[in-house]
Amino acid sequence: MSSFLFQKMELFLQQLVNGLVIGIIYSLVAIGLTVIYGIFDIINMTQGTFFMIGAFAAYFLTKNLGVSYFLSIPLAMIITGVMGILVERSSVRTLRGQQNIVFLLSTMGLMVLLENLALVLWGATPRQLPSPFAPEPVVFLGVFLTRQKIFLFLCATVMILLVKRFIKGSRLGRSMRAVATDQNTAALMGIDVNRVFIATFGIGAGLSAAAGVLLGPIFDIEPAMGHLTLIKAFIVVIMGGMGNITGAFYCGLILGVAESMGAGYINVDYKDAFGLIIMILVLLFRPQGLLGKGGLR
Amino acid sequence: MASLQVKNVSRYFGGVAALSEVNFGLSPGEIVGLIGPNGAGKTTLFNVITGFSKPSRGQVLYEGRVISDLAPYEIASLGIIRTYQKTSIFPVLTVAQNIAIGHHRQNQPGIWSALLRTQAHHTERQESETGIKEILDFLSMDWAKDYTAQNLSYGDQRKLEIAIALSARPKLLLLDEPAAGLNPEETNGLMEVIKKIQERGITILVVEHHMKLVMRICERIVVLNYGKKIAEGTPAQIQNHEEVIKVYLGEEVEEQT
Amino acid sequence: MNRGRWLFRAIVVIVVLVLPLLFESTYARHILVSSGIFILLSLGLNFIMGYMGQTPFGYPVFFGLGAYTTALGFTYLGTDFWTGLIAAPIVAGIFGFLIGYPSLRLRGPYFAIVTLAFAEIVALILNNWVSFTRGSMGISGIPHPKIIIPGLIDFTFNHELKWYYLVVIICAFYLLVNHRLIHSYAGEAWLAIRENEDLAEAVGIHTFKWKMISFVIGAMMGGMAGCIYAHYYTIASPDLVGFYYITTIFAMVIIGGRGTLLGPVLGAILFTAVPEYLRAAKTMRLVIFGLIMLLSIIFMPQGLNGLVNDIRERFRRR
Repeated sequence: MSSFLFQKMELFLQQLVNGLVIGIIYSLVAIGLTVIYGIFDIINMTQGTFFMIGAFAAYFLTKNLGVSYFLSIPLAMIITGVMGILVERSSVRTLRGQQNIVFLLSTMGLMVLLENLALVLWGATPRQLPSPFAPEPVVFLGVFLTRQKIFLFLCATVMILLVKRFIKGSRLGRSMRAVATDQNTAALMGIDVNRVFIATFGIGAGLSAAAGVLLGPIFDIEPAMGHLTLIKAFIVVIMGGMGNITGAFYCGLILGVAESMGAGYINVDYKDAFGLIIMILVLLFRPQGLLGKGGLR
Repeated sequence: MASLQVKNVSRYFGGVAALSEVNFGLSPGEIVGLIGPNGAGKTTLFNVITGFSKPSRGQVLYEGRVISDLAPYEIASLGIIRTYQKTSIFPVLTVAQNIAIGHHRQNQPGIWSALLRTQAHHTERQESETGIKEILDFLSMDWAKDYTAQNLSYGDQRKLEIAIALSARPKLLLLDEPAAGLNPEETNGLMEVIKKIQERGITILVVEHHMKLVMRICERIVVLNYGKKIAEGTPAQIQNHEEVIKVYLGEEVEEQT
Repeated sequence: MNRGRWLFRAIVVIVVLVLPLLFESTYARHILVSSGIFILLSLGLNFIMGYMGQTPFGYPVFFGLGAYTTALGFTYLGTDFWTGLIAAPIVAGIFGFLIGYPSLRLRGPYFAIVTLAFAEIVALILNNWVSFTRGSMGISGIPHPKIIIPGLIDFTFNHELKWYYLVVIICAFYLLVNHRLIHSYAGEAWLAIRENEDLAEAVGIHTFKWKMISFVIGAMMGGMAGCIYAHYYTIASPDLVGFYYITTIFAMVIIGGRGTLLGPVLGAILFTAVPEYLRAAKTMRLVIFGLIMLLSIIFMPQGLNGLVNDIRERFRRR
């Protein structure tokens, strides 16, 4: 009897842990999305593409240039970040002052362009981003964990804490929050909106790219990998409230766990549907988000 | 019977009371002014009356029935029409189209009539044309019929706002700072228009900062400050009201053009 | 001026009727039919996006639902094209109501994403409920439409030429419906909602009801297009709800020029015919679509239709 219970506990914990691991990836991507929306009122459809580009950047860095996996993380973040800034600068900046729908469509066009360019250049065959860690799982309380997953979780948490610190503490961070509250007033008060713009998109793209590099060794990488991740990130942002970083963090984990539990206990084929249903419900009954209020927090 | 009754209306945003137990009524056919410093809650009150905001406490009644729980379009259907502080029109449409939209609720023959081009459809189009003409005449704006709304001068755009509101056949018209940004000539024109509207039997509630206009055309004035009603009376009474003078000290001197 | 207009229209009609006879190759005619189907889809999306001003990213869900309605009807009930032509828009319309009711309460970007979410859910079900929908392989073997009056007519739409004229008739039908609705009090309501929703509500327009009507009609248009697709290509598969169609239809409407009737038609023809003609692979096609979509939003917000109008204006001024 007790061993039966034990098994049930183990299964539960396993699903929980798996959920947390994938969840924090959702959080990373979602934070980028929510920061961009919180500050500029723009829904960035390319957020998933940055995820993919980060992973591929790391792939080519490690494979062709022999860079170590650990170094590839910040490098991929920088490469993607710069790309993100350049690309948004051309398409988003020129459209300043227009309605939201315009940005929705322009970033969508951008996403389609980049994603399919990747497909044309690199092909649809999935590739493997090698992990620097030994593949043998570590067992803890009956739960199987690879070192890669542990590293992923720790690294992601550190990044999120750093970003939160940055936005709360640094001067640029305060400028970001000012622009989030009121762009015009902030500009009048002498805040360099351009720098805020660069910082915002840089962080957004960078975090997404990091997520891609961290998750890369666990799942195969291919050009369409950003798709579903984008939708998941949206779900998280809607759950946590637009502009709410802490909300995105917790809700990312919640989504990951919910999916994992759903896959394990209900039906694994419809795993992706759980998040979608949650999002629809949140939008219907609590559109400001489960934890949300406004502004950038 | 009072046509509009605002009963103990309070509206909170978070912890802040934008409106606090506001109480007043409007009798059919009168012109009442609503004044107060910036932030006193005048636009909030408009939002509550027209259904864009629900009162946290209290009720709004129109012709004896509670309307504070109705949707904005339902309240508009009862004949309560408002204009906005910041010019609110349909910029890319022509003046005629703008006014036609105001006319919309007068006659709604149904989708099938549009698809099958029945008599009902044609009648409706005819009535719309007639209605537009009438409003343009009333406001002497025939010349503007085919102009794109956003190409009109500021003063004419504000006139268009009133035209749209009028074509919705209001019984109660709420004007939110209609004189804002108008030059003295346009302001005089506005005053005449408001008087003309009253002659049609429409009750009018005007929010304004332009004191001369308010004192000239309003029969009664309600004064708000920090969400509370601090005074109500005839223009003469309000001008001599101690608290009103205190609140406006310094402001009124600049408003008098 | 009026006579000139009628002459122009007459020429267009003659060209449209004669066009497929100019091309002997089946492939060219196939491109024409394919463009036709995309015209239907673009008009449907344009109805929602161009006139009412909402952006339903999940729009192709109605396309897929329409196709599957007739496909499943054939598989389990033995129904044919003509039944499907009526059933598909009805089913799509019902889903339009169900999806629209919660989604239309939301503004702009939220609405876009929620409709996408619904589309994804439908795609998931189509892919995974294998016993009912045959899963990711889809349903094949859907028959071509027939007209049979025993003793008199035995006519099957098995040839691109016949399909062309069928599609033309249906396109004309769509254009008529669009035109009539837009040039009526209903069209005014939608315009008002698109241009200034709060003001529309403030003058007594029941904005939610009108949004729903527009959405359901757009859905029905997508559904009927789905039925035609299914009987022409003889298959229905889950990718009809997928990203390729989302991107393509949006690109067509945006680049063609939303909010007009000519725009989506131009967009659909151009973006079916040209890539096909250049034999561009699906992926490369999308790269170019994305690029042109982006450029057109920045530099040509009125789309190709706007460009055409600009040229017309210049001619008139001469």
